[in-house]
Amino acid sequence: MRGALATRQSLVNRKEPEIAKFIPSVTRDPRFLSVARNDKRIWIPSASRRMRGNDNMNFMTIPLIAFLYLYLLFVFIWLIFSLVALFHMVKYGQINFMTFITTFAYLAGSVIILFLSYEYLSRIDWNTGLTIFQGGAGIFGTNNF
Amino acid sequence: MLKYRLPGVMPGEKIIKIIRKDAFILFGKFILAVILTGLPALAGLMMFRLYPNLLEGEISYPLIVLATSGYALFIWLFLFFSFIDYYLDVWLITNERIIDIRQEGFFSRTVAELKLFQIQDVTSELKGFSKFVFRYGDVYVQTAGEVQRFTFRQIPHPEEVRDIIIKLTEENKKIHAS
Repeated sequence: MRGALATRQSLVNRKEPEIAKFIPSVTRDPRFLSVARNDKRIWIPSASRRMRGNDNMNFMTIPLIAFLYLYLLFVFIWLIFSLVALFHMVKYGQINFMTFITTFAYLAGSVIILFLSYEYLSRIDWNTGLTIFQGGAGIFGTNNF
Repeated sequence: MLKYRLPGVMPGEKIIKIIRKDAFILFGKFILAVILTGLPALAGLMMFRLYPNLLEGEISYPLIVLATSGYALFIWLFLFFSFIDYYLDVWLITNERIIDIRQEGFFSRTVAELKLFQIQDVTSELKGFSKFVFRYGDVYVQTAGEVQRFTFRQIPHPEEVRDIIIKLTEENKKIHAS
């Protein structure tokens, strides 16, 4: 887990009390998502909502896992097209070494890409959320972008 | 004998030649795949230089991994399908007929055939600089009574293919006449 978990007091000190009041006492509270902000990890409400009090700041949180589901949908479609391509190759291809080697190379390459993807994706904490404050996305963990 | 699953094989039918588009066409698609891979990689490297913390970000890192993986899968499928498009687009010349098999996209495949004794005229064409240099071109086969021509597109050594078809047609016409 990169970055330090911001405490309620540190956010108050950084003049961010409006966020500080949302920090749960138990950090694994399902109503909250951890997000990167100012190079720190903070906790905010998981649902999109308007902040309370006299602050008009709007924010929206997109759970990072939503991107993973989109990726999995893409992989599913890719898999269908791959199966159709392999079917064409096996059914209509000439019976020779070229057909065998290209089919094998495609399968091997696909397995390598999927395996490497799994290796990298399995190390990621998918509980994090992408929070958009007043139209600015905190994608890069800083406010500078 | 050349091995191929001949559609509707006739008794005593032999495959004389299997023709595909020139390998130059496949090479062009390979170059396109290299460009499609290289450009985003180059853009990514520039981004990492400008924003070195991109791979450290809790959001940016997973998004980069997802995008890279998705793009790699897409390019790999594109490359494979480019090969399939080249490899399964085929013209078969047998001692009885010419078969035109076309793979069009993922879900379309067309098979057409022409009996050799129906052929009236065969024309080969080498037009353009690259076709002339790399010796690939088109062969048009005209049949009796048919308006539509049978075309072999972007095949290697079209003159040689024309000669083979003419020779086979003459032999086939003699057999059908006797």
